[in-house]
Amino acid sequence: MAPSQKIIPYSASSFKFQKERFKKKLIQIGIDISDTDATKITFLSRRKYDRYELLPPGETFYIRLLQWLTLNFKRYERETAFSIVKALKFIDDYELKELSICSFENIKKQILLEIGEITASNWYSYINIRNNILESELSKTIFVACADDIKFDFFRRHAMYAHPKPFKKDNFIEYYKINKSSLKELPEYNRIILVDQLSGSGTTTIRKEIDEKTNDEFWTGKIPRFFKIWNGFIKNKKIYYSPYIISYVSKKNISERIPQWIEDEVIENDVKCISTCNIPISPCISNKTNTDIDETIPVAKLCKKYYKYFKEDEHTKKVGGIPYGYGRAGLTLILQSNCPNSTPPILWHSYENWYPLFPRVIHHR
Amino acid sequence: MESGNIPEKFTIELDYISSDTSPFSQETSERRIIFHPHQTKSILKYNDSYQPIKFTGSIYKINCTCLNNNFNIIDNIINKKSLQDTLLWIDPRALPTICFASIIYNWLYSINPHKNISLGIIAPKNESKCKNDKFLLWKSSLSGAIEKSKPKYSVWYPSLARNNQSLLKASKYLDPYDVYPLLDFSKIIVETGENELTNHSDMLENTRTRTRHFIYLNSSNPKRSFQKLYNTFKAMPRSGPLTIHPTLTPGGLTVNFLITLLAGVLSESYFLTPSNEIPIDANEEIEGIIVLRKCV
Repeated sequence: MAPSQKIIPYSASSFKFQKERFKKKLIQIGIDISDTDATKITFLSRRKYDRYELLPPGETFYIRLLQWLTLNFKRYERETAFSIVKALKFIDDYELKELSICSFENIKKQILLEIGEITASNWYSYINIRNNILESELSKTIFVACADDIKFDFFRRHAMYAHPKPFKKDNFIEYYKINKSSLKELPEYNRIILVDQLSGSGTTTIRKEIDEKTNDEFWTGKIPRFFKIWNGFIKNKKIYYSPYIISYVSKKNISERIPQWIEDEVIENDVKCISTCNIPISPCISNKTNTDIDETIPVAKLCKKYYKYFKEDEHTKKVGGIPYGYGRAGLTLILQSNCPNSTPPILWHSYENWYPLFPRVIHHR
Repeated sequence: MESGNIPEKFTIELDYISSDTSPFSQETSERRIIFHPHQTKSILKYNDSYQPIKFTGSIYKINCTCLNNNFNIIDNIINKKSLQDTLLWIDPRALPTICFASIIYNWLYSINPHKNISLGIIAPKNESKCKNDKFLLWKSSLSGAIEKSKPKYSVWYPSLARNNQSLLKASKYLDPYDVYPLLDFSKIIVETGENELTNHSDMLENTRTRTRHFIYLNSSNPKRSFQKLYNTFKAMPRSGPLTIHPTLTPGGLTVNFLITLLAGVLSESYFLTPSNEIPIDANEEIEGIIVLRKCV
């Protein structure tokens, strides 16, 4: 492209220009990239990655990627580091909003499953009976937010728009840690849905810990904590934990831990996990079946090698370190609002002058 | 409704039943319609595993709208016995897109909303089979499709599940004023889902399509997808100086294909598809049932 030729931003010519410049720069720093991959990453960086909320205004993913590759890695390692970028899964705000709607619809499906077979003499009464039962059951459902970044306002508006009759404002509770006196004001209910954004390893959802003073084991996490706070208000109620996104590792952990916890704590409620988007361990770091981290593959070795710069805290120490993401979740998942710690820290930490590709805000409750 | 558009005296309601068999008892007044020549057994090659939906009512074999400009096909069925409060079963498998669209159009204009004669449309599983042949711009009518010339202003709704080169060609032909790409959300959220988006980077960049224009269709919630599309298409001004023609290129999962097609036909939108496309194979398994109602 001649230097005098003006490139109009966000046009097809600027896309081609950006892609060619991106390819050239990557080749300069030792990365061989195909035209297809260059197109894909340029497109996604313009459409998604540039919108990562923790990037300073004006900074682009493309500039950040070049810095991340050159400042952190040796020339011969950059190709491996770049393969993590090729495996990124970025969920933007539009997609998260859609996920919140899908989760609501998933919950409706679950309720219809609970209801079981509907007998009707004809199609017209079938639809009427089904819709009436569903509306009646929805009115007896309380949706409780388990995190502050689940677009709960959007979730509630969709639910109330799709079903204006059954819902009152109190069917939707902004956070599960609630004043007990407010619980007395809830409408009649027989089912509680704990709505969460992401369950990366299942640790924040439910885990067993050891009390340092007494050396006793105890259950903690969002689900056990919810039971403690809501104790006295959930007798004979069905409880569903419903994260929008769940990792393979988390799904496995939660399905093992819930029955153990129910047995240990003598829980009488029916507790189930219903998720909408299931994400496997990233193919760039996992075995062939995407069911475990393969520590022999180059990306896993790179994550392990540079973990030395990561500064551990009490949470990461408890799980024996997080080189492949918290709880060995091995995700290459980025959300527009933040990077989850289930993603390997070489992508997000900034200790010891490490330059993060997606800087992260740590928010342990 | 956009000012200038005449408010209609009926509403369209869609319900979706996720079941491969009818979960309700069928009445004798219900009709299953088989369209000749497309659904005539002698020309269809069924697998051994093929199972039609269980049906206990009467079966009507009628000529499709594409045969000798045959029109009022639904009219002929419902007027024979003054039907009321019943369901007409239509199986879109093996029907060309243009013919299926015309059948829906016939239903729309034959049915008195007071009579409650609804459509039970079988929704098969899997992806629709899209062709990459030359695209044709058309609009549904009682006797098939009417070929249309390129409108001055069109807003295009292409399914990104289609082939990238054919969509690129189609976009150059249509030269749309704006583009709202349709994406199967269940595919987008899986690991490699973004490929469907990035495959079309040339077309999306050439047309300067905004990311916020992406429309996600969720195959697990066809009712919402239908409402979203139908209300959008209906709201476009069809007369006056700002006339805009919504133009649709459905594709992707069969349920989403059907929902897009229904919303387009019922809102009298244009279509840009290959002329001889048969999107659903005769052997596809059934995923659910779409019930389409015209209400007062």
